[in-house]
Amino acid sequence: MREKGLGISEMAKDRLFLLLLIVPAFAVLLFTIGIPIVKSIYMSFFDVTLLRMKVQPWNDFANYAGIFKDGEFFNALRVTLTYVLCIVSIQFVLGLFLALLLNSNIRFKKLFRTLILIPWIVPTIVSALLWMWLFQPQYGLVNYVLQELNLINAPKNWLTNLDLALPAVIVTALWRQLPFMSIMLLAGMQGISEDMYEAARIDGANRTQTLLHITLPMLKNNIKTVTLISIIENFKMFPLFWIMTGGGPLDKTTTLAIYSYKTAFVQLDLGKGAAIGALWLIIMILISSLYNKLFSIGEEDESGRGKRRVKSKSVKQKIAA
Amino acid sequence: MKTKKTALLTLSVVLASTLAACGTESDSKAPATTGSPSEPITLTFASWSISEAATKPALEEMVKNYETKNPNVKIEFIGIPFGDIKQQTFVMASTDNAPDIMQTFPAWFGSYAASDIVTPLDDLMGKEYVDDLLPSFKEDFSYDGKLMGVPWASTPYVLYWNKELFAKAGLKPEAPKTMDEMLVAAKALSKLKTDSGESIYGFGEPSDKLAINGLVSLRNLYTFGGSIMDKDGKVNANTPEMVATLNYYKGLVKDGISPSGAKLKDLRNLFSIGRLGMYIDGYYGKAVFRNLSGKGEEFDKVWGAGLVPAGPSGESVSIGEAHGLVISETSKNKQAAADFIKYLTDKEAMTIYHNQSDVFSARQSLSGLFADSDYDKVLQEQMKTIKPLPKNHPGMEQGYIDIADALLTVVTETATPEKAAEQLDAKLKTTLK
Amino acid sequence: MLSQNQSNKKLLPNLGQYAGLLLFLLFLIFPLYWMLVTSFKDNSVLFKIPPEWVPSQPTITHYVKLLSDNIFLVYYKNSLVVSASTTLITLLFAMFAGYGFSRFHFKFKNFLMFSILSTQMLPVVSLLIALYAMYKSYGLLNTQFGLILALTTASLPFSIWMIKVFFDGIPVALEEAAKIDGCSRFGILFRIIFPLSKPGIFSVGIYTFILSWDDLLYSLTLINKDHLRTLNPGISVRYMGEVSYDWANIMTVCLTATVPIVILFLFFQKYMVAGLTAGAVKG
Repeated sequence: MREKGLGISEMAKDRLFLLLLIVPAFAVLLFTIGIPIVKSIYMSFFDVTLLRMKVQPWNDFANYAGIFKDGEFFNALRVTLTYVLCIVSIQFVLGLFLALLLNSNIRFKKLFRTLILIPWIVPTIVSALLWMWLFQPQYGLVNYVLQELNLINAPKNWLTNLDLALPAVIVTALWRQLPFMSIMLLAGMQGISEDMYEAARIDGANRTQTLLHITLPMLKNNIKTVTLISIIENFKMFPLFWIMTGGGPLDKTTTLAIYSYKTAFVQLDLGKGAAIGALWLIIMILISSLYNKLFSIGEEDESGRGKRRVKSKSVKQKIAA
Repeated sequence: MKTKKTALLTLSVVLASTLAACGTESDSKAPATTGSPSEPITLTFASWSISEAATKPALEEMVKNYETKNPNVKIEFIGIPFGDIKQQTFVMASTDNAPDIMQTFPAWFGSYAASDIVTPLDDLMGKEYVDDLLPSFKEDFSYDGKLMGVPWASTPYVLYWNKELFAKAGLKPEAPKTMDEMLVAAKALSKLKTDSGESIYGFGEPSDKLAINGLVSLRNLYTFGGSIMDKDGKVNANTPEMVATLNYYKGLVKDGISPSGAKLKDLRNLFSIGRLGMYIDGYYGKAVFRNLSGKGEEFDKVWGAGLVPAGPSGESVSIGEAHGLVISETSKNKQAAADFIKYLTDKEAMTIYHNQSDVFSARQSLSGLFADSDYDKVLQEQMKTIKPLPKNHPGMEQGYIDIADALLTVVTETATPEKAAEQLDAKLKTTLK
Repeated sequence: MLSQNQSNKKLLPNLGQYAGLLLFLLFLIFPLYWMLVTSFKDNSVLFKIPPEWVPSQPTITHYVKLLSDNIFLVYYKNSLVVSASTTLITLLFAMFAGYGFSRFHFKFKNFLMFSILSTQMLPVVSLLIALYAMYKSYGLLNTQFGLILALTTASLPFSIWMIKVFFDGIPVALEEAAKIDGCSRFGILFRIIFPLSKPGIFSVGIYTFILSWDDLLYSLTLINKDHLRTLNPGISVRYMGEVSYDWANIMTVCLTATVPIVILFLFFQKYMVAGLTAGAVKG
């Protein structure tokens, strides 16, 4: 398209372009997330219950006070943090291990890569049902196999035992999420050139040293991305817990998601549910700021590519790289 | 330019198709009119039974019959799973989108009754109909002196026992009549093993933290002569009877007689595969056993039904469960809805339903209707001994959950029955105030 | 000396590596096999201990029952339409926004990026009620468009972020050259950037598709007309049942719900892995 002789400056065109680029996404986000969030926070200061929606008196911070008083919030927070910590770290370690295996000199790599991704495609509800079937205490496969292998001597009530319920859900989540973590790490690994490994070999580094000093540092960006995705998705996790344990037994698997769902939809207390959501938002912001600091997601530092302002610098960098 | 064109084209196709889909599918339901009976009316009916394979055919048949008789009325089902129907209907109501008729369950009926989304039914159903209801059910579905729901597909809870297992354990081939007899039999049964060496439970009680289990446990509380309210109607759950009930649950699990933290669903499964000797349930048992045992009708010979074993009072006590049909406050066709409900609970519809699912009627005039099989006779007999549930209260569902919480607490030995009763009492006093 | 060590090192680890891989595969694939096998068992042998690893008398009754129920195919079609539309719209908007964030620097940029990302962190539950009310007043309830809109917002933040990272890896010099040649801004985007980042876009597309296919809460709440329902709520509504756990039936439904999307994935998976690899190299 030729430039019409309207005399609009390049800067203005840039601005317009930028606007056009960003507006669609923003409009959608504002409409279906932004506005509901504001509404939700607003609602948290009212006594709103589905039982009588016609009357909604303002009640200050009563919802929040109620949350802190009955202690369920802290239980839910604790369960959520425990769950997220466990699933992300286990997933990372095992995922790394699997990725290393897939990156090594074995055959049929492509086949294996495809095979292992299948659990990730399976819808969450299906994986929840499948593992409920496997964990069934009286006739499920897990108990049978573990007993045959003499790892346990009596059938365990996986989903109704106070100490085993959360681990059982974690296993299910792991089954479904490990493939993705693994493939992402693998993709990162394949970007590390052979030269680095060759150099390490010449220097006499053993495998552990190679892992710690070459592989992991080079994967830093990659790791921070996948673990952040994992943390956020697992913080929100709802279907697994709802279908497998409903938050039980005795609230041992009641995460923030389950807790807010129950408050809003079982007790029909929307005001309190909205308050929980608001607190959740604050926590998430805190966690991601923390994460941000730890990994410095900020743009200005590492790359420096792709900025219109610093044109010459980027070109110089490109030449150098 | 090519890629740009392609992109734009794709975008417009996508938008066009979704808008088209939006256009054709988002027709609001046929406007409900309050005109004369000859004008077409659509009644929306939120139900979970329409989504369950076991009950779907019966419902569809009943609706077809009704629509044939009343050509100006169309019934539109809104199938919502049992676990979601309460919140979904409340959400729908909060945006003036409530279905005309909603199917509810006793454990959470109180929430509907005390809310502002349903309408009283005394006038809509007529005095004669209301007086015809069995007193226990009428009470279960009333609030503030008004009938708020019509009981449908009612059933008492009866004892199921596995004849083969009884024979294997050398027990008398009849259902135990008292609690003590039942416990003796249960202990003997739990010593049995299946052909492949798996363990068998003698008697199962559900103790998972669900409202329905709290409700079901009231049957035991009544058997022990207790109640969660004292005679003045005030909450008092910290009673010797409550402690006795909790001890009973604790003992069942501790002695290996019952699974821990089970749902009724689990118990039905176990009974069907011959790994549970006895348990107590509503009418759902028969169809489930046939299906899950893989033996179909053959399996009917394997089990029998008996009255709930009597407690210290010497008499069998049970609870009745029915699905409460409610009409929404904002419905534009309340009378038409009431007429439909009347049909659903009338002889013709009930017979269709009973033949497929063994449901019973909550109406006195129909109480002698189903008495063919031995199974029916037992259900019939038990219907006479049901006690009403606690008075409806908006917090009652949470109350049932609190009770179930107490059950799970003692069963997992997180607290003693005495402590659990105390905590339950405190909780209920807040929940039900 | 070195080569001897090396060849020894190469042989032993291989066996260990295969063993390790086998363990992982067992964990990941065996449950799927079990799901398959269960769906072909009759109820009379389903609960047998020891379990039948291979069904002695396989039966297809569960499948016949399921597929004779037309509604299942309707659910399937709906899921396809909704997920595909969501993916296309998400990709388009994310591409635009990702490009904007990648190439431009402006005030509040970090804050904006951060707030977009933070929307990803919100629990669906909190949004549900307010969203439901809004949809009601705009007539978006029980429409596929409404659901697509909601699911798009669920995938947009991450998609924008991931695409931005891919774009970051494409040198600006290319664009500058094109600009000198007289290419318009949108032209640059579609003719230069897009082809170069195809693998990356594909992988984001697949990710979005799978994510929207997986949705349960939105689909369950925003649509309750049966003929518009998608697969996941369909499973939970029709096949879960409150009365009993009909495991063979449940596994049959699960398998039937999973197989087609697995096939779809297998068809596209080479793009996905290639995309992730390419993106990682550049990022």
